[in-house]
Amino acid sequence: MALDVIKNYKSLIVDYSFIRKFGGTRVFTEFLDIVTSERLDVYVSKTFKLMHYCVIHQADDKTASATTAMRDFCSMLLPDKLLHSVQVSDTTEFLAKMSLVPDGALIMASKGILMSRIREKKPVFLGDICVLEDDGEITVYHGIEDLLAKTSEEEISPIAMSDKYLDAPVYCNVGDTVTTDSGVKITLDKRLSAGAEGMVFTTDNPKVVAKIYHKGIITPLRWKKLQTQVKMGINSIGLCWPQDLLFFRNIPVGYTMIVGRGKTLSNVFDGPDALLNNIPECTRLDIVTTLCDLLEKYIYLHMFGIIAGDIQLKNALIYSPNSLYLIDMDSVQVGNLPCPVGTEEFTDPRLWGKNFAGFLRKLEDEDYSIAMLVFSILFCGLHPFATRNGAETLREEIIEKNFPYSLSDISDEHIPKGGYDHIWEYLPDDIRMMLYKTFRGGESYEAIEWYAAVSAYKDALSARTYEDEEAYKAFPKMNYTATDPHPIAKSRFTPPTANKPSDSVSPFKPVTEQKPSTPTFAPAQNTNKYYIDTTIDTSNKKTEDQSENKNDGGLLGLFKNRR
Amino acid sequence: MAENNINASDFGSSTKRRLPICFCLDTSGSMMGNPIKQLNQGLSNFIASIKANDDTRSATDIAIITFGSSVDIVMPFGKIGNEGLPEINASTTMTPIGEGILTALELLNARKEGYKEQGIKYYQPWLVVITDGAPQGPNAMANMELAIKACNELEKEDKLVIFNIGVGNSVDFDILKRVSIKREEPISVSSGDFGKLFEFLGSSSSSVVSSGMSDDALYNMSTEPEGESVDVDDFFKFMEE
Repeated sequence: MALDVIKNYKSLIVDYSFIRKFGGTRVFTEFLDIVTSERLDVYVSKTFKLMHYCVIHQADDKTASATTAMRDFCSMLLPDKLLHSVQVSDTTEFLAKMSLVPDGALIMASKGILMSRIREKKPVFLGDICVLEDDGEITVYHGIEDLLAKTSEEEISPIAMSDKYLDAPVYCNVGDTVTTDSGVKITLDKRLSAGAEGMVFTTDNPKVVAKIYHKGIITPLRWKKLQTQVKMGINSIGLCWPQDLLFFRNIPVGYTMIVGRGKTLSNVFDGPDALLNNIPECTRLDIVTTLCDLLEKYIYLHMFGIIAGDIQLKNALIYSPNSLYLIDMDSVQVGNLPCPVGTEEFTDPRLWGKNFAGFLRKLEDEDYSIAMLVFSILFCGLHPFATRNGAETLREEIIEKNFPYSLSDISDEHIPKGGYDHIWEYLPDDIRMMLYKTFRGGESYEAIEWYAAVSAYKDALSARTYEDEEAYKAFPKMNYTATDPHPIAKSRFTPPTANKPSDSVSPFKPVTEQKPSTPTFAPAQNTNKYYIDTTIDTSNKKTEDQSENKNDGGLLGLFKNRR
Repeated sequence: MAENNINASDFGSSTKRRLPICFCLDTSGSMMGNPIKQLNQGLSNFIASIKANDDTRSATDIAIITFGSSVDIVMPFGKIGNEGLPEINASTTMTPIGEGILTALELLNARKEGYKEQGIKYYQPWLVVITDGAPQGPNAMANMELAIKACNELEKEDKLVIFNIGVGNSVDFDILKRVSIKREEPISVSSGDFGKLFEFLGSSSSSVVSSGMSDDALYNMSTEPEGESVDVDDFFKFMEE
């Protein structure tokens, strides 16, 4: 048996990549058989449960087996008290703690977040590491150094720096029929938007829209990436992921993607007027729900070795706080194909001045952009370095880390006016600390740590644990109301389209109500082991809102004005 | 002259990074007739396109100054209303370009101070100078020299992006060229091209606020894709290699 080697250990530290990759396969069944028959102790980190949420909330067929796998995992290990959760989400801290587990081995997939983090952080871990390749073959490494010495990091594709571009005399527009690489004919129906890269059309297939590039935009990097993306087969409603390559008279012209709808996040999260005009009566819970949804999507992408690269509020559409769509997915970094774009405002200053097409970004690079996203959403569009009476340029503010918020509340004279000081005042302490350390101290947190903190904030708001009613307002202590309401969703408390099976389900319903239970991984007393005191939620959050036909014509902002 | 009166309501509640643009327009007598008509039309199309675009609507911040028989602030920053632009008329004497530019720089500086006071992020401002002649009037040349010096200093420090635009054949291109140290030649148009000119300015402002296009790229007028063009056979051959 392929996994017999794990019988050599008394404890296994299981990374979520193992469940995601091998759930539903014979390797996974064999794993459970060995663990239960040999009575091996299994340790997981706090991220285990959170990563699972990120997976099931995408409702992607590609990862459908993870739900059943997690159910089997819990139901077989929990009754025998073999499953232990360690309340740590930082990779280095978790592995250091796990080094103390006697006779333990780490088990993980060869590709995934943990492998990337290990390469980047080079943490200390004294036990063996069992790495499973895609075909289920297992290799055992004796510690981190052995792993790093015997495996190699992916190098950037040489295609990335090519300055060639496809120049062919074909132009397609409304009414033209284009063909997918599998020969399916698609007719371009209506032009939805046009930008510097190309145009987006509705098609005769209501589930997808077509992006057709302008002359000079299809480069080898772009086309190779689209080929890779299509092969990956990600198919989740909230990710406008490329589905098929498109050809016109046998010449590459573009691709189809899952249809998104709503408004660009940057135009909704743009201060009190824009926010409340687009989402009247928007609450803090709505804001935090939006943020959780976004973080789940980015972490999901990370699991497949995708680094978004150009994270910014313009690259997502919002229809309602739990109906978001990541767009411009053709620019992301996939494997060894880099993301050639990025903005100064959202990119880690360490990367400024570099040619983005010339190197592969790391997860730690993305952590800064994720922190930027967290701040921008919580502060309704504000940039963390928007500072009153500050430096001449934003660039200087960022370099000097002139973050105008403090933990002591002594001085708020540099915080922009408009109630942002109160947003800061009402944030949970842990999030304030993380933001402060990031933007003032230059520290960094893994995306999953942000997700852990923001999820806890969401749970606290859902459970109404705060006594002060101001804590629930989008802008605490301010009395903003919509000045010119034009809500994105037609009604706040009815589903977006009338022909849905159940009109009683609200797209704004707090997610805690959709989940049967909120698991608490509480630390047990006086022990270095941590016990799960309830099952992991394996439900599949495919909301009413996500399961309907998305072709309502409300599509905006699918373009980035850039080559 | 520009007043440094900072009124929070003139800045709106948007959190977007602003792009202040000050138009500095020649309304001397030679612009009378069709040119001024075309200018009004181009400007009003420009404003309409800014307002129609979600990305530029609250990010682009516009003021208009004219120079003819006097220098007038036709529209200060933060005052774009729904009623449209005031009509710009050409007068009959003098071309105080220098005074116009100096007033524009004051307005832009005051606006930047306002952003700083409010805690609003901004891109470095644009000065768009459109003229069909040469400096004329009392102290016109001396003021023009002051204006050139001020523009050159700001541009050198990357604190200003300049569009120096000449209309027709009577422009003193030598002196207009000196307004910018980064643009190789002033942009030369005929009054019939105002439509295209404003379209170009509109799409450039959109590229800055929506995709962070660099200021340096604004000095490159080429619309051709960069790199080596290849036909489809060579493209696939290269991909396979």
